[in-house]
Amino acid sequence: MKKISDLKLEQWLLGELSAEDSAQLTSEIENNPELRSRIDAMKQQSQELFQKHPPERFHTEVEQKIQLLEAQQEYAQSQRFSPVHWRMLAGVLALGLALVVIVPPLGTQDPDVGTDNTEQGSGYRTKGETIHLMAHRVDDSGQTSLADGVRVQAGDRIQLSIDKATGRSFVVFSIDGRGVLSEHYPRESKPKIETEAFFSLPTSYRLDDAPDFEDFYLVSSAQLLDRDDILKKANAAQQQPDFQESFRSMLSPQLTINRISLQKEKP
Amino acid sequence: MNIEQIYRTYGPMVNRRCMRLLGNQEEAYELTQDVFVQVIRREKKLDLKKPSSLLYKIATDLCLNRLRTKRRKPETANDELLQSIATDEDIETLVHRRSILDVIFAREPPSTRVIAVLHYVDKMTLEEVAEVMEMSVSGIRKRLRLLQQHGRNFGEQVV
Repeated sequence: MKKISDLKLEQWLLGELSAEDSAQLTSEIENNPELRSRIDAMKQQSQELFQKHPPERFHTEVEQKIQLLEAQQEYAQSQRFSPVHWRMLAGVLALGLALVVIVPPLGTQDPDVGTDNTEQGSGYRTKGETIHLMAHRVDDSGQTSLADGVRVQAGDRIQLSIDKATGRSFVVFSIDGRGVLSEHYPRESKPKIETEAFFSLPTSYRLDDAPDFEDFYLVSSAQLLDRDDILKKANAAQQQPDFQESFRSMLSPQLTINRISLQKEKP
Repeated sequence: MNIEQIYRTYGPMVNRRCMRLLGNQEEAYELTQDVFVQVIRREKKLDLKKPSSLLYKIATDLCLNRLRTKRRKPETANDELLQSIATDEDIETLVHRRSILDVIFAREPPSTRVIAVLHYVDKMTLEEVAEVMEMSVSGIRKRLRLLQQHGRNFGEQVV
């Protein structure tokens, strides 16, 4: 028997088939348990999708994605080199070469273990030229970038994204003022090596009424990460007096940790 | 354009399509969003007379791009793809099973990749593929013939 394609069944469910095709397929479905079970499974999947990703939220999520894409494109556009840029670069390179010849090297640093852009040697990176976490508050008027330490309140919707993500795998989680650790990414799959420079987490987050703060952590590496191991260590570090110091010491120095701390306003 | 309404109607279909090709719920939802991003951004250029066919085609194309970009090893959903292709008698006699995915993902234009998946994996008839791709049946047949030819040549090189 000819296999009925998924698309044909979808179109039958959507009522897009011609009256003749629809009647024929309806009759086949009535007489074919396999087709009936495919239809049942599709209906079940539709319900599950809407439960997990409600239509009311979808429009906002897509709009955010478009805004982020446009921002990314604008940024890429602004980074394009003009002939003037190339001449400037040539001048800088020539100067650099001269310095290398004159000044002896002082040593090398692994870009993953650098200290010049960490918070006073804490091992926690701040925003810069390397991979970093960004948070935006999203509401009807659009989105506002949230700097580290900014005040937020229960009910705020937060969208997380990661810049300079190319070639890195990462895990994102948060810890709130009640000490609750929430895993944000990846939730259903193993970490993967990202191929795009800019990555927006698939879902945004509504802040609950936990007091004091909501800290978002990004752990990243050029190698594939073991998500479960990182979360286990984060849980273990929470039992220690200083979470940040303990967590850093539990992880390989090759891993980069990036944090954004949002301060909760009292209700 | 009422995206919420379009998502209510077509979101599940798009999501199932992405899930079928990617085999991962998180990624499938991300790509579902991307399909709608394309719909919004290209609204004026898109012919929305046959929304299901169009969305199905965009979803298939985006998922194949994702698979190609990530150069996944044949596992999970790709394994299913590979198996579907490998067990199809017509194609198995023509191309070596190891080479077909490389041919589809690396050498052929994006629309041929979509055509190949719709026909060989989804088992759509040439007429059904032609409808989704908005091409003639003879055009689809010609693309598949070329793909088989390329596959045969490529297979001979690597085996």
